[in-house]
Amino acid sequence: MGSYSTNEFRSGLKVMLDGDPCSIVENEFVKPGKGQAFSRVRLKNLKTGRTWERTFKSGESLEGADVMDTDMQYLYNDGEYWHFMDPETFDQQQADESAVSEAAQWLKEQDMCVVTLYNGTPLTVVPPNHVELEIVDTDPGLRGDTAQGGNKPATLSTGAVVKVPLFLEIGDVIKVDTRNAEYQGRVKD
Amino acid sequence: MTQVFDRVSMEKRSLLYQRIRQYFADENVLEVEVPVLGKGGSTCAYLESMSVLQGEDTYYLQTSPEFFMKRLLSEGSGDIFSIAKAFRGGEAGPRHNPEFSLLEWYRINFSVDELVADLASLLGSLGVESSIKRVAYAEVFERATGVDPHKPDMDKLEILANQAGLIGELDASEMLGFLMSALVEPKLPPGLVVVDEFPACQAELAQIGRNSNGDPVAKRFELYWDGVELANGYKELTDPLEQRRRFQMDLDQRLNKGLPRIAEDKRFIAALERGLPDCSGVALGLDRLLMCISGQSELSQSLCFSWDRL
Repeated sequence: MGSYSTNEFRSGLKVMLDGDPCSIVENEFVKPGKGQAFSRVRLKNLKTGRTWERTFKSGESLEGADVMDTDMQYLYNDGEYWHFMDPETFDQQQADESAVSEAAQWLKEQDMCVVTLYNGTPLTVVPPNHVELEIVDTDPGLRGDTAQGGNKPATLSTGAVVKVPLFLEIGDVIKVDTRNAEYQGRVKD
Repeated sequence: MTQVFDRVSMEKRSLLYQRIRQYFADENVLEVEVPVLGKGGSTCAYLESMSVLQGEDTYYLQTSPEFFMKRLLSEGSGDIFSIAKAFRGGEAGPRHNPEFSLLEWYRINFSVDELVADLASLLGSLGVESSIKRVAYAEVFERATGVDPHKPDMDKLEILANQAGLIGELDASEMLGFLMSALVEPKLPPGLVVVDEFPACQAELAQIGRNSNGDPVAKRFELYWDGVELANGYKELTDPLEQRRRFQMDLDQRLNKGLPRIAEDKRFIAALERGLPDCSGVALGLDRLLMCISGQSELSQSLCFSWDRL
C-alpha cells in the first residue's frame, strides 16, 4: 500500500489512522487568515463504524489501508463462523461475529453479499439491499383485512423480526429492505 | 448538468459592483485597473502563485493587486481602488475558489481605525449593516483558549490542538492560525466583527506596533461576518529595508518547506525605496461578500462558473 497526501484525499479512499482502517467521508479545504492551509477530514472507522474528525496540515499523508469490497456468496454458518465464497475464484472466507454483526439476521444461503476484506480477512459484511425470506412465526392471518393499515410482527427464517400486514401467514415468503427492515411485499410463487 | 446562468445572482453581483463604484466615486477614490499577470509573484510560503510560461519567461498570476497598486501609490496616485481577479493555486473548497474577485483599496494617511470606519460606511452603502464590533486578537484568542497569543505557551497550545484533532507539526504562527480557525472563529460574535492587533509573526505586509500591554502586534485586521472571513487590512509597511527582510524570511521559509523559489518583485521594492506614502489598505473578497449577502453557505453558489464547473 502506498501513502496518500491530503490533496489526494477523496471520499471513499481507504486509509490507516491510529492503527484502524478508515474510509474518508469528506475532505474540506480550510485556510485561516493568510496562513497555513489545512484539510478538515471526516473519516469512518471501518472497524467500529464510528466517525472521526481530524484536521491535517496540508501536505501530510496517511498510509493506504488494504481494504477491498468483494461480492461473495453466503454459504452457511457453522455455529461460530459465517462462511462466504467468491463465485469466480471459489476462494472461501470465514467471518466472525464482529464482522457479520447486524447482517446476520438477513443472511440467507446463496445470497450475494458485499464482504469487506481487510488484510485479506472479512472486516464487515453488508447483506443485499433486498432479501426474500419465509415467515416462520406470526399471529394467524386475518383474511379480507387487506384494506386496513394495521400490521403485526413476523419472525423470518433467519431470525429477523419485521412488521408485516395483518393478512400474511406462516409460510408466506416476503421481500424486505435490509437497510431499514421494512416490508416491501409478498413474493408470489 | 447544472445550469450556470442564474439571472438573480448575476443581477446581485452587478448591483453590488455599481454600488461599490458609486461609494468610491463619492469618496473621490480613483478606480485603477492593474495587470493580473506580473513578473514577480507572492513570496509568501502559504500562497501558491500560479505561473504562466511565455516563451522562456515565467509570469505569475497575481495573488492580489497589492504590488501593482503600491507602485501606483509610490508615484503619487493618491487614494485608489481596484476590482480585480486574483489567483491562489490549490485553494479550492467550500469557501475558496482558486480564481476569485477582490476589491482592494488604499487610503493615504489613514490609520487602521479610520480604514475600519471607511469599511463600515462602504458596507452600509451596500445595504449590509454598518456597525462593526471591534475586538483584539488577544482578547478573543484568550477567551477561547486561555492562552495569551503574544506570549504563547506552546505546550498548552499543542494539547489544545491535539484535542481539536490536529495531525501534523506546526510552528508557532501556524499553530495560532489553526486554533484561530478551530476554536476561536466559531465563537466570534455574530454580525460584522473586526479582529485587530494580530500577532507580530503574522504581520505579512503590515507595520508592527505595540498594544496596551506593550506586546509587539501587527497593525493588521480581519473582518468577519457571522464567522466568515471577508477582508484583511493593514497599516501598510513602507520601510524598504524591513520589506526586504520579510521577503528574505519568506524565501528562507519556502526553502525549508521545499517550495519553489519565487522571484521577489524588484520593481515593488524599488517603489518602496522611492517612497510609499503613509497609507492603510484593505482587500475584501467579493465572492464571499455575495455569498454572505445572499445567505448562502458555499462560495460556488455565488459564482457563475466555479472551479468544479470549468
